[in-house]
Amino acid sequence: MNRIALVALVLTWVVLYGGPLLAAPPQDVDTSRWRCRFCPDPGAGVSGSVRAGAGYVNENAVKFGEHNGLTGRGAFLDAAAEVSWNGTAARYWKAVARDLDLGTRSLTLEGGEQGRYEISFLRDSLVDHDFDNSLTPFLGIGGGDLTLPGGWVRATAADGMEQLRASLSSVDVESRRHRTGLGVRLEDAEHWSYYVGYRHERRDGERVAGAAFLVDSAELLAPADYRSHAVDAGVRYERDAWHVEAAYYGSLFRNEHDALTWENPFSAVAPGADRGTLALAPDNQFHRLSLSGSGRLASRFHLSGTASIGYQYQDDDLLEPTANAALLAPLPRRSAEAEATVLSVDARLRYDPPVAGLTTSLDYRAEVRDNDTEIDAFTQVVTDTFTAGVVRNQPLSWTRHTLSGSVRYRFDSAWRLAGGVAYERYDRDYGADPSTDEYRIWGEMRSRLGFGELKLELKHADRDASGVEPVAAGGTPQNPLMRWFDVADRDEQSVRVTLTVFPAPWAEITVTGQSARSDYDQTRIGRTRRWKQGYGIEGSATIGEHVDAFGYALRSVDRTDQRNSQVFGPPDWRGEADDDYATVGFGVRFVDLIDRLDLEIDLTYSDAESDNSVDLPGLASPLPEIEDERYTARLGADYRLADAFSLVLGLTYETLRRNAWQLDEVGVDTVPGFLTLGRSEPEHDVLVMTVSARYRF
Amino acid sequence: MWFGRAFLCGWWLAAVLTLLAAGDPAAAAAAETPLAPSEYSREGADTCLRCHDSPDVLSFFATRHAVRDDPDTPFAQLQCEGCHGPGAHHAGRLRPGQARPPILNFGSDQRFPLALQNGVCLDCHRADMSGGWHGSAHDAQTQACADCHRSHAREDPMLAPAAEQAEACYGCHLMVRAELQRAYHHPVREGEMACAECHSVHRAAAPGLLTEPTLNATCQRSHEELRGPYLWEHVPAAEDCSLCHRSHGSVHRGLLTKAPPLLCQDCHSRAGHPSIARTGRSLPGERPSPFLLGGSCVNCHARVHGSNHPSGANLLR
Repeated sequence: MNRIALVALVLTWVVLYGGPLLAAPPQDVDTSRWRCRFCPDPGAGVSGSVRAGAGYVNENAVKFGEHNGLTGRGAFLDAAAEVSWNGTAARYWKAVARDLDLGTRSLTLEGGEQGRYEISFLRDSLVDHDFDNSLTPFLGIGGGDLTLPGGWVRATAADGMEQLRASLSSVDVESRRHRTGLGVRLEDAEHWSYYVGYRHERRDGERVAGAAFLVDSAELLAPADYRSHAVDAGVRYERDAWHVEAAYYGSLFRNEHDALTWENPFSAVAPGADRGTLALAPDNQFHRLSLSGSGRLASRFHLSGTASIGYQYQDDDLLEPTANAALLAPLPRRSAEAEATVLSVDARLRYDPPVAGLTTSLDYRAEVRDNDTEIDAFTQVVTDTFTAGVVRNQPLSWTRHTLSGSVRYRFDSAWRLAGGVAYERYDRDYGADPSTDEYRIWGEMRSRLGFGELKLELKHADRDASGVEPVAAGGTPQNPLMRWFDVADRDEQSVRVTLTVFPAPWAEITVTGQSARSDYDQTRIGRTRRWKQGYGIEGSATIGEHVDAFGYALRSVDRTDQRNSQVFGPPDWRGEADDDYATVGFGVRFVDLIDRLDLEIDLTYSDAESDNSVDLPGLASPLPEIEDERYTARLGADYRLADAFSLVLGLTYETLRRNAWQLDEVGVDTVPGFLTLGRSEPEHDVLVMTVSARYRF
Repeated sequence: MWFGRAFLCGWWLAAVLTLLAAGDPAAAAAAETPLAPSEYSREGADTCLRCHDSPDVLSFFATRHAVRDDPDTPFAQLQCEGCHGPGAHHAGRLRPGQARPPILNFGSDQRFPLALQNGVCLDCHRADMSGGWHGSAHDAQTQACADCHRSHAREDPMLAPAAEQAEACYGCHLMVRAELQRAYHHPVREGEMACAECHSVHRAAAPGLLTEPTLNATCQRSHEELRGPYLWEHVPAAEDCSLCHRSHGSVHRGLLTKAPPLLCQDCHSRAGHPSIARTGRSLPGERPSPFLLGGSCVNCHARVHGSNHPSGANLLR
C-alpha cells in the first residue's frame, strides 16, 4: 500500500468513526422540574450607559498624549456610550463608542443571533505623536517634494546657512491611523462555520528620515500616507474529536508617495549634487493560505498543526538611479520584480502514555522563505554624488527546521515536572550561506507547597555556526573577524524562579527572579555577550467585600558587550550597553466606600537608565547616561447620585524627566555637517481632570 | 563558567526540593480531589440558587453562556450542572458530621484535575483550540481555563477592552507589565492595543504564541509598509525584527534593543567605513558628530528596513 492510500485510509477512518467513537454518550436527565424560578431574567430590551462631561489638560505635553491624544493644553469633551439590545431567539446587538472627542475615538458594533451568525463593525483611530517642537527650513511638508526657501545660499556647514534661522518653521511629527473593519461569522447547526473580515486602514502623518549627501546629512520629514486593505476569511469543519480549518489572509498596501525628493541645503560636493531622492516604502501585497487542525487519532494520541503558504509581491516602478543630471547610470530593469514565497509548518503529536499524569509531545516546525526576486547588476550612485561600482542585489532566503520533544509528569495537583530537548537547523541562502545547528534542553518544576507555589525553569542552548562570514553589503567587505550575533556560535543559559505564597486566604504574594546569559565565545568582533536579569515582587489582596489592592516592584537589567575595530583589523575597542529598568506600581480599588462611592487609585513609578560606554585605550570620555523617569498618579471616583445617575471624576498627574544625549543640546545647526530638526527630549508635568455624568438605563 | 555551575546547581536544587516535598504532608494534602459519582439535582438551577445567590454568581445570567434561546449554551442544556456536573449529592441532605460532597469547580486553585475542569470547557470550545495549543504552556495540562476566563462575570476580562485584558495577562506575565511601562512601548497600557493583537493563546503555533506563523509576519500585519520584499534587503529586518527591536518596550526610541551606533556596530565593521568608537567627545561642546547624535547611523542609512532605490545597496537612498 502506498503512502497516499495509507493516509487516505486513516483520514477516512477518522472522519467516519473518530467522532462517534470518542463522543460522550448522552445522558438521560429528567429536567421536567427544572423551572428556573429563581433565575434572574435579564429580559429583552435595551440597556447601557452614556457618559458625558468635560476634561482639561493643563499643559502641552506631546509624550503624555503620544497614544491617548491629549497632547495639547485645553479643554476636551469626555464622551462615551455603550448600548446593548437583547431580543428574543438569542438575538442581540451591542454598540460601544469611546473617546468621541479625541484622536483615539472608536466605535464598535456587533450583533446577530447567538450560535447562528454574528456581524461586527469597527471604526477605530490611533494616534502616534512623536514631537511638537521640530524646526525645519524645508517647504512642502506632507508632500513628496521638499524645497528650500527662495534665495537659499548653500553652505558647507549648518551654522553657516545664512537664511536658516529666518526660514525655520515649527512642525509636529505625528501620524494618525484610522481603521474601518467589517466582519461576518456564520455557524450552521451541525459542523460548519464560516467567517470573513475586511479591514481598511488609512495612515497619515510624517516621519523623520535622514537624508545624506556623502558626509552631510539633514533630517527631513517624510510623508506617511498609507492605505491598506486586508481580508481574513476561513471555513471550519468540526466534529466532536477533531476539526480542520482552511483560511485565507490577503493584504494590499499602497503608499501615496513612492519617493521623497529634497534640495540639498549644503554646498554640493560634486556637480549636480543639489537634489536627492529617497525611495519610500513601496506598494506591496501579501496572500496566504493556511490549513490547521487538531484531533485525536486514538484515545492516547492527539495531533494538531498548521501549515501555511504565503506569497509576498512588490513590483513598484524603480526610481531613476540618481536625481543628479550630471551622472548617468543604466537601469537594468524598470520595476522591482520582487517576490518571495514563505512556507511554515507547525505540527505537534501528543501522546499520553498509560501512566497517570504523564504526557509527551513531539513537535516539528519548518519555516522557509524563498526569495525569488530578480537579480541584476545595479550601478550605484552614492548619495547622488558620484558613481561607484556595480552591485548585484542579493535576495534573502532561508530554511529553518526545528524538531523538539517534551515530557511532562504530574505527580498530583501539587507536583509537576517537565523537560524537553530540541534541535534546530537554520540554513541561510545569502552571503557565505551561514548556517547554524542549535541544541536546546530545558526543565521545569512546579510545586504547590503548603504555603504557596514554587516554579523553577532552566534552559540551556548551544549553537554551532558555519559559514559565518558576514555578507559584503553594498560592494565593500566586512571585517572578516566580524560574527553576526544571530548566526554566531553561542552558548545560552537561563534560569527563572517564581515563588507564590498565600499569607492569608485573601492575599497573594509572588516573588520572581530570572537570569539569562548568552556567550559568543568564538566572536572576536561583534557581540560577545548578553546578560539579562530581572527580579521583583508582586502582591494582591482582597480585603473584605469592598477593597482590592495590588502592588509590584520590578527591576530588570539588559547588558550587552561587544568588540570592534577602528582600523578594519583586530579588535581595538570594547563597548558595553547597560540598560537598567525599575518599575514600581500600586493600586487600590474601593467599592461602595461610603455607601455610594467607588474609588480607584493607581500609582506608577518607572525609571530607566541606559549606560553606553566605550572602552578605547587612551581615550576616556564617557557618554552620559540616558535617563528616563516618570511618575503617574491616577484617581478615579464614581459617586452614584441615584440608581441610574453617577458623577464620575478622573484625575491624572504625570511628571516625566528625560535626558538622552542623542537630542539633548542638539539644535538645528549644532553639528556642522548635520542639519537637524532641533528636536528635544520630552519633559512634562501634566494634570488632566475630567468631570462627567453617567446615566445607566 | 560560573553560570554553567549555577545552572547545574539549579537542577540539584530542583531535585532536593522534589525529594523534600515528597515527604511533605502539605503536599500530600494537596492531592487531587476525586469526584464521587452523582445524579443530577431534582430542580436544576433552582436547587443551586437557594444557596449560591451572591451577585458574583447571579451576574452569570447576563453572560452569553446563560442565553437560554441558544440551544448550544450550557445553561440551555443542563443549567448550572451543564458545567458543574451532576449536583444531587452536593445539594443533598447531610448526616451529622458529614462533609458536604464537593461539586466540580474551576481554577488552578481548585483541587480537581485540570483535565476534568478544562474538559468541560473543551466539550464546546474544542475547535477554538488549534495550532500549537495542545501541549503548550497554556494548555489543559498546565493551566485551568478559569485562571484567565471568568465565565460568571458580566464581561470576561479576556474578551474585555484591551486594558482589562492586559491586566489579566499581567497576573502571570509580571515582567511584561513592567516592560510596557517603559518610555517607548506599544500602546497597551493606554488601552489602545490588546495583548491578543499579537498573541493568540488558543490557536497559535508559532513560538511566543504569536498570531502569525512568524514574528516578522506578526509585526508586518500592522506595519505593512515594512513588508517588502525590497530590492535591497537588510538581513535583520527581513529575518527577525527582535534582533533590533524589543517589542514590549524600551528606553530607546523606536523600541530599539540598544542605542545606535552600538546597536549597528554589533554587526557592522566595514572596509572604508570603519567602526569608530563614539565617545563623549562626539557630543555638543566638543566635536559633535552626526555618527552619534540624532538618529546616529540612520541619519544617512535612512532606509534601514530595506530600500527600493536602484542606488540603495547601502540603504542610503
